[in-house]
Amino acid sequence: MFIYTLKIIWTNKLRSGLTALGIIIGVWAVILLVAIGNGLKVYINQQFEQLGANLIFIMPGNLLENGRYNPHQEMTMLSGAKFDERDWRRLKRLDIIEAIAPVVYDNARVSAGRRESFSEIIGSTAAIETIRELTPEPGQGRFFTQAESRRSKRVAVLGYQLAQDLFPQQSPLGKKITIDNHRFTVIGVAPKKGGGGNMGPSLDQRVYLPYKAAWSLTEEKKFNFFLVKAQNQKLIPETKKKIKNLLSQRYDSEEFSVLDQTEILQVISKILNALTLALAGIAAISLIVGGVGIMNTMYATVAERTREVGLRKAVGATNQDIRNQFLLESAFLSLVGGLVGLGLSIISAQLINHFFPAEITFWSIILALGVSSLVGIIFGLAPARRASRLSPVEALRYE
Amino acid sequence: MISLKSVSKVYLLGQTQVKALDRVSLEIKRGEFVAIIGASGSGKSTLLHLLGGLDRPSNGQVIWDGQDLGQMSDQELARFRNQEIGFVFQQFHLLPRITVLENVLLPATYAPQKNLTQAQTRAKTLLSQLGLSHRLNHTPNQLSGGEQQRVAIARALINQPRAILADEPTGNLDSKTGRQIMTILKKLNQTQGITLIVVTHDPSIAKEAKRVIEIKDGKIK
Ligand SMILES: Nc1ncnc2c1ncn2[C@@H]1O[C@H](COP(=O)(O)OP(=O)(O)OP(=O)(O)O)[C@@H](O)[C@H]1O
Ligand SMILES: [Mg+2]
Repeated sequence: MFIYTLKIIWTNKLRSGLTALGIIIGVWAVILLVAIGNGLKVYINQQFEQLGANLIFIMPGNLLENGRYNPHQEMTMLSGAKFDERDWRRLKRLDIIEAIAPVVYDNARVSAGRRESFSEIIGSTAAIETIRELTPEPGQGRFFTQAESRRSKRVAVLGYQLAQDLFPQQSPLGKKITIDNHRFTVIGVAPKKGGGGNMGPSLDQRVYLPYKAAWSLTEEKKFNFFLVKAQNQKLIPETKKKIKNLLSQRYDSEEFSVLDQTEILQVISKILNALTLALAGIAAISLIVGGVGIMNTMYATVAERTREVGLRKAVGATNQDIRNQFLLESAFLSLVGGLVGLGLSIISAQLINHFFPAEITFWSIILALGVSSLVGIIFGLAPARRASRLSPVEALRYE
Repeated sequence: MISLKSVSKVYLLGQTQVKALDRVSLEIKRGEFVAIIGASGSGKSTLLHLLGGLDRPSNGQVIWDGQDLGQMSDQELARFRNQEIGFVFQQFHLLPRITVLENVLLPATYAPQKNLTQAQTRAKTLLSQLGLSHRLNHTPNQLSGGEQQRVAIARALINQPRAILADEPTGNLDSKTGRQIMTILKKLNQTQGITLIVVTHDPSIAKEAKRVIEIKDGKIK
């Protein structure tokens, strides 16, 4: 019976292929989108692991609402500087904090001679060196000092990759770079932070400047966020509470967020999950379209093979036998479509991986194949039932 | 023994009722060779279909060895056709995409106790008895009409039925080939005691039968 099904599908190669196309595209899109979502999540997790331990982030805007991710506020984080030097000084006075680094964040064109790069600018104090473990390797210069950050000294520490891009095969130490028409002297190269994927912006593409020097590039003399290092893992909740109390004296609780790494990861994975789900949902619609295509083809097949149905019944096939035969056919058609779609998505994930992280998970494969055979069965059911209910005499007379 | 008790079959064509069979009663003994003759549209095929459990009567009973086919579920009826009846049709009705051997095996795949290796051996034996051993792996469209009908006969025999019901088995064949087919069927009836019911309008075939039933306008004449 199974071989017969294969034969039938093979004899109608073109039609089978066209019918399965909807399923192929649907499965391909679903698996690939989920793979990209997963790849991003894995990538971001890796990035966070490299940030250093016991970190707390103080950000403008309300990212979490009652401990839950607040979907309406996700953009506030990006909506410009918020904190000023007064906040910083007051936070510094909290004893429970081990270290705090204010961060001025910007994106700018960085050039050295004819080479240039569009990079993330991190303006901070010497405190970020320990918090983020940015001390240059021996022979790679040094990080800027507390005094330099206070005096808006025009010095820069380059990310590992950026240093190689701007100064291939030579030491960048002591060389000049230009950021938005301002000249800086390179005094160090940060150690390699990696980041795994090839998705920018990589940590190794950054430029670290004294925050006052960074302010010469920005409009407002404010900080985009603070990085806080807690004394240890256990003290994180207590530290967060103290920070919140302090900031509440000046700001509404809606206006700032105090998050630790796990919470930030939660926020990001929730955004990514929602996005992946939405995209996969849209892609899943093509599975339904594919299912309708299968239904259409199966109705045609049943009509064409009416006499076959009559004959099979005459020699003893029951209604269930006939129904199962056509269900097998539509499920198989759909499953083959699912397999081809899976193959395509594996190939495209490989290709995409050169630019963007994509990771095909086991469950997405299972789901796609399960769903595609299910689609075949569901949409094959009506045509199969029609076939099974044909009267044998009528079916044999059918021209 | 097969008996029909006042069997009628009414078809609905739009508003009008077509009485294909009208209160037919008859008995056929096991091992008999019966020819059913009559003009076109008289109800011969309808009668054969009812006898073989391929269709249900509008009224009356079709009884095989005391078993009323009308009391059977669709599934039981399918099983009855599978085990007790071998149909042979004028148009052969072989499946075009599978081989001769696979066509012959088709009823065996629907048998309640499947033994496909045994069925395969049997199919090969039947096909070689019918002179088709060199055709096992051909597809039906590579065969002549007479060969196709012999394949259909092998298919009818694969599950060792009690009766063969043939609806104009020679209707699509030239007279010489037709005679060969009739010889095969008659031999099955004589040597194996298989009940043979043949619908035909060929008088020479009817002459060979032990008994001739003539139908006219849905009634036995
Ligand atoms: N499915 C059907 N719907 C309506 N009328 C039908 C149907 N099947 C048969 N009939 C009618 O029933 C009558 C008997 O048909 P049947 O096929 O039994 O005749 P027949 O004796 O086999 O004829 P032929 O020698 O041409 O095969 C005919 O008048 C036919 O038109
Ligand atoms: Mg007829």
